[in-house]
Amino acid sequence: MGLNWELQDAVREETDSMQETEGFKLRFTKLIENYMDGMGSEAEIADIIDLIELTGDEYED
Amino acid sequence: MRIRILGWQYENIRRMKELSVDLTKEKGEVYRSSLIMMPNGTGKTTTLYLIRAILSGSAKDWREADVRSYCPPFSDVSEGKFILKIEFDEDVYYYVLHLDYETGKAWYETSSAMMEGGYEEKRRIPIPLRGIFDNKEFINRFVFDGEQARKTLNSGSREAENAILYLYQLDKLDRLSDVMDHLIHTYQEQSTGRATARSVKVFQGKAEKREQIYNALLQDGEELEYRLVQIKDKKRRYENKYHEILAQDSHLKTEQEELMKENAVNQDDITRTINGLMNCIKKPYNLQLDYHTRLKTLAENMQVLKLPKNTAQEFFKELAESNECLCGHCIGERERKIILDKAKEYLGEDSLVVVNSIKRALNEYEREDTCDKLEKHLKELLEEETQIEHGLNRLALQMAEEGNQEVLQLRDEVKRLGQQIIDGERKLERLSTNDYITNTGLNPENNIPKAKTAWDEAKVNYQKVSGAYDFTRKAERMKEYIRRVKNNALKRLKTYMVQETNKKIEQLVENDIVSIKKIDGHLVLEGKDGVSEGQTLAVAYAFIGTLFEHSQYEFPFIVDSPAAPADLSVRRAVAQILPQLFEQTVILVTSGEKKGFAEEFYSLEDVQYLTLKGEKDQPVESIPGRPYFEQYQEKE
Amino acid sequence: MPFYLPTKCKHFFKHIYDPKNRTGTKLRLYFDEYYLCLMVGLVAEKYDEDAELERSEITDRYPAEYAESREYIAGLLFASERSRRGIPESDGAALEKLMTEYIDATSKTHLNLKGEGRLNQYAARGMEIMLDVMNPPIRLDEFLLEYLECFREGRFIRG
Repeated sequence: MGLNWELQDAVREETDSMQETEGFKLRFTKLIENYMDGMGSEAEIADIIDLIELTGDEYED
Repeated sequence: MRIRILGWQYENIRRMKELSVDLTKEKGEVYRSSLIMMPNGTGKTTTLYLIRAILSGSAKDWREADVRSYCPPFSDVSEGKFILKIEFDEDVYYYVLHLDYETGKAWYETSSAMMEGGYEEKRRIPIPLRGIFDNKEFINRFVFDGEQARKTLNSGSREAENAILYLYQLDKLDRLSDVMDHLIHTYQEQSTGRATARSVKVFQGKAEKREQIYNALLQDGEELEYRLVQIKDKKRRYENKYHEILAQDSHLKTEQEELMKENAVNQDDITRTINGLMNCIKKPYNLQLDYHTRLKTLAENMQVLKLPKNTAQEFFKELAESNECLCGHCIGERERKIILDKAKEYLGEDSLVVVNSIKRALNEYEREDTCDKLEKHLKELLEEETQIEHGLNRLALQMAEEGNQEVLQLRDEVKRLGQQIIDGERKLERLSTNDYITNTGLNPENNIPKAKTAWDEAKVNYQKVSGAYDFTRKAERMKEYIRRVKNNALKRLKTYMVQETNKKIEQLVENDIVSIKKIDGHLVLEGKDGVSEGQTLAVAYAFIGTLFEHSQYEFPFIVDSPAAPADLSVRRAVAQILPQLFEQTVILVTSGEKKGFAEEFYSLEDVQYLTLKGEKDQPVESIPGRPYFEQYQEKE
Repeated sequence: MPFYLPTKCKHFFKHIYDPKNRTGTKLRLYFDEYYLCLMVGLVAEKYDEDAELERSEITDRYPAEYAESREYIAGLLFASERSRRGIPESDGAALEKLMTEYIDATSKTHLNLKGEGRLNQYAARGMEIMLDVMNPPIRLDEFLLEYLECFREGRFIRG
């Protein structure tokens, strides 16, 4: 069962605009699909989070 | 996937003793519309709740009172049952909800053609629907309470938007965000302290400070080493110069060489004598005369006193066990106790051996005067050492008197530098050693290995905290992405809903001045002022219809009193729109809703009519067919 | 009970101690330091009930160089204890009782836990006496000469 097309489009629009690696974008898309289908563990999600790259100025606050 | 309700059955549920409702026609197909008249008190609401309970599984949370509320009144029947027959595509499932009125417990059973062996305990929903059916909010939108329709338009309600969220499962994305929060919490727990920007800075600062200290100590060490090399070099040069100067005078040179040789011999001798003396001292009787005296006195005492006595502790213990003493005297409890107490004052057999060996050793040793001799010798050697030093100094003085002051200065310098080297080496050792037993008082501020360890630890702590902090930032960003996806999807769905619902309304409602402007929690209508209540209700149902139409699943629509309190025109509008929205609609009505609502169905095809009637105190029975339905009137 | 070094020893002997004994003119063992203190305590017939000792033991038996002195040290312990307690030399029973207090036939030192513990207490007191009476040693040869002189002149007993 795939996602309804509104959700699919929303995911695509979001990944198109994000400043992340292609790897992350793919994993993110899959994550949403899997999760809507009842799949996905905390460990998998943590792995995907780790793919996000922070810039150096994250400590200015 | 196509979902159809084929019918249901009551057994001992309130006024329904044993009743079946069958929604099928020939070939197992269902009617497009089923109108079921259930007068007040027959269980209209009950039926809705029970269908919901089966589809959502919510009966597992019912309290005992809730379960017993379904018990037939004035009856002692112990159990009730509600059975729902559903078709998923081609597969027929039977769901049984058991209500045990005695224990107040509810439990499920499922049977399907796919399952071997009849019924299985548990409520088994086909896998694709599991995440959806388990959500009560979702079930309530197609097993529908007519009152809810108004809510979609009620500006205080978020019913319309929530319906979209639940039907399209966008609420799952909120749960995904919750998982992120849980992960963040876990990471934070594992790091030292809460990972905030400030604590990261603090730990970073600590690590940097430790690094500075470590590097400073390394540098100190290097400088110290370098200085030591220089000092040693200088000392060597001065010594050489000193000897050179002495050597310039050949007479003095010879004397110096001899003195140096003597010095070497003297030092060796001192070393040997020290070792010899230490070996002597390790025998206490050598240490001083008094010890010797004491030990010999002890040995003598032991001899005179005949110690150790041959009589051992064991002798007394054995004696205590007999009834009669050696002398013939009786040994009773009192005597026994005295004997045993006394026995403790005597050595045991094993100990006798030890005492004897001590006695022997004390008797047999002979004190020699080696220690005294070595002591005397050492004194002589040290005096000799002093004299050699004086001799060497004298040479220097002699030269100084002969006009060479330099040699004195050199000698003093060499001595001073020698001390500096000793001090420096000791300092360097403390700086770089990792022998903390011999060297006490060392810490990360004055010892290089300890400084390194402290730095490493600070680095690890910093990494842990910043790791948790980094993870938190990343997870927050991820949550933001998910939030945007959800809002984006919702927005698109809303747009679609509005468009399609409006199209439906256009087709179905006579006046086309009614349309949905947007969905803002509830349905916001365009030009609300001129719209009748009937039309607004029609809009609400049109919206619901569009909602379900768009999904991948074909749901039936079960509704209880869809237009009950509304006036006739409203009822008509609703009655016109409902049959067109779903492939199967099951409508529960009272007799009072026939007028204006049920009547609209009479002209339609593929409609089923059922009347559930029951006089007071009589079990309810089901009578099919339109004629009965039409004429049936409830008693007021 | 193993042998424990009084806490003040390491500092006192630091200039004349070298486990490697590179120059040949240093004490090589911590037990050497212990023994020197013990002899002082025993000759003064004084021990420290609340001895301050290092947390970790030096050893649980006599080092090889001291093995032959096992009997003498035990004998000295009896002699010092007898004298300290005021037991007359003619009292054989009391002496035997004293020996039963301290002897353990199965022990490597011939002494039981109480006896070994008492030695530690004598060593601790000995260290205190040395601190009062002697200069902190710089050279082992000078120290040994001063040490022997103190014994000879009874300075450890008086002081």
